[in-house]
Amino acid sequence: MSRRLIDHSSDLKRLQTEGYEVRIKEGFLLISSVPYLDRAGQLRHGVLACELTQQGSRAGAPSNHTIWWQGEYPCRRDGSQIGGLYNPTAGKDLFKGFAANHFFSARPSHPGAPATGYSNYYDKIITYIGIISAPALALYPGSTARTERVFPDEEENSPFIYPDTNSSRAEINVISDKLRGLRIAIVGLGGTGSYILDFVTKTLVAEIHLFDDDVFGQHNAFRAPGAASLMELDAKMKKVDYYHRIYSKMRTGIFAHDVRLSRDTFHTLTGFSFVFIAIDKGVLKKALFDFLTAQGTPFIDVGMGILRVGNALRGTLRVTTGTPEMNQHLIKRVSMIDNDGDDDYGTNIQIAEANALNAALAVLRWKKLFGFYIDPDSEYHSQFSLDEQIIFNADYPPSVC
Amino acid sequence: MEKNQHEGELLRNESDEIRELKEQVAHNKVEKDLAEEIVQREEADIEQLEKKIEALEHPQVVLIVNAEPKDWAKPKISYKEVVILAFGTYNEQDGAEYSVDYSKGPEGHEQGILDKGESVPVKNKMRFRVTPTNRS
Repeated sequence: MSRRLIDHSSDLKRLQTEGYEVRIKEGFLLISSVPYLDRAGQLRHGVLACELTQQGSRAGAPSNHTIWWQGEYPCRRDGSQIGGLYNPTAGKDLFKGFAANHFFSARPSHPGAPATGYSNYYDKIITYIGIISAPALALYPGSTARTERVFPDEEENSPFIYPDTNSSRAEINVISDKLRGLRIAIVGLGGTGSYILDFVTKTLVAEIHLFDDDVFGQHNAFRAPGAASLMELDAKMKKVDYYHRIYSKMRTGIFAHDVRLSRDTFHTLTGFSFVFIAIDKGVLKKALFDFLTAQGTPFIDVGMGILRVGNALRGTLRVTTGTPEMNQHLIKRVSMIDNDGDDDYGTNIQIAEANALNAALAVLRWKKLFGFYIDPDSEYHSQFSLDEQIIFNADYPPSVC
Repeated sequence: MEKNQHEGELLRNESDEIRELKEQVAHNKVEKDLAEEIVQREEADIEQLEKKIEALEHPQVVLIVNAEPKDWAKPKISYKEVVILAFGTYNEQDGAEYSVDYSKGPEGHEQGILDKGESVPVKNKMRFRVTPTNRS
C-alpha cells in the first residue's frame, strides 16, 4: 500500500529516488537513518516523522510545518543544541512501536511559502535534514541520509482499504490502537444499529459482524446513514447485505449474517469482544443478556422512545451497558416487553438524528470501556432527554461510587 | 274564706313560678343560640385553619408530565403514579416498562431518574418524562 502511495506522489518518489529511506506507517511519513551529532560529537542516526496528508492515492500538501524526531537532540560540533528547531512540545508515542523524542519547528523563510509551511513533503524533509545533518556531514564527510535503502511493503495489519489519516493527522494513533483487533457484533440493523455500524466502521476493530434478517425497505432509507438509490431499494436486499456492500468500500472484516435472533441462534454470538444490541424484541433480551454474561461478553443495549404531544415530538434515548461483573441493573433499565408491531401508544416513531445520536452515545460508551475516552464515573446507564437536552446517568460499579 | 285565700296564694305562687321558669328557658335559649353561634364560628375557623395547614403541607401542584400539565395533590409521586398520569393505566411487567426522569424538582431532588418502585418529592411545574425506550 505504501509503495503505491510513494509511486503516485512525485514528492515522495523524488525522496526515494534520491536515496532517502522513505516509509509510510500508520499514516505517518518516516525518514530513517538521518545522521546527526550528539552532545559528545558522536555520529548518530535518527528518524524524522510527520503526518502524511493524503488525497486519494497520492500525498497532498503537508498540513503544517512541524516534524517529530526520534533520537537525541541534534547538536553542533561544539556540543550546543542546534537552534532554529526547538519547540517546547514534549515527545510522545505516535503509534504503537514508535515513540518520538522531540518535536521540531522550522518554518521556511523564502517568500511565497504557504501559510502551512511547505508546499510538498520533499521540501519539508530536505529542509529538516539540511538543518539536522549539517554538523554531522561536516565532521563525518562520508555520512549521509541517502542510503538508497528501499523498504518492502510491510504488512500493516490494517482493516482499512486506505490508511487512517484522521488518526495520524491528529497524532492519536496510540489511542485509536486500543480498539485494534476487536471482534464486534451488531445485533439489529434498524436506524440505531446502522448508525452504530457507521461509527464502528471507522475504528481499527478487526471484525464487524452484522445480524439481521430484515429487508432494507423504503422507510429504512429515511433513518439510515447515507442515501439509498431507488435502484437499491428495488433490489430488496437484506439489510446485512446492503450494509456489507456499502461499508466494505472502506474496510475489510465486515460479515453479514442473515439470522433472526432467537434462543436457537444465540450461539452465533459466541466469541465476540463486544456486542451492540439494537433490537426491539424485548422478550428475548433477558435470555440474551444472560447468554452474553455467561460468555463473558460485555455489551450495550440501546433503545429509544419518541412520543407525539399535539403536533410536536418529544423523546428519550437510552444506553445501558452490561458486563459479566456489572449486570444487576439491566432488569430495572431495559424493557422486556414484546412490542412486535404497534404497541399501546399507537405508533413506532423513529427519526434519523435521534437514531444517530442514540448510536453515537452507545459508541462513545463502548470506547470509554476500552480506554479510548476518559471514563471517570463509569456509568452503566444513561438516558438522554431530547426536550431539555439533559443526560441522566446511573448505575455505577461498587468500586467507583 | 281562709281556705280560698290560701288557695289563691298557692295559685299566684304557681303562676309566678311558671313565669319564672319560662323566663329561665327563654334566657337559656338565648345563651344556647349564642353558644351555638360561637361553636359554628369556631368550627368554621378550625376548618379554615386545617385547610390552610393542608395546603401548606400538601400543596396542590401542577406537574408537567410528557409536556402536558397534570394536577397533583400529594407531596410525593411514585413511578407507578407518574405512569398513570402519563398514560392513564399501568400494567406491571418484567423489566423496566418505561424510562422515567424528572427535572426542575425541589431542593435535593432537582433532577434525576425515577426508578421503578421509587418515589420523589414534587414541586409546582416539576417536569416528568415517561417513555418506553424500546425502539431501535
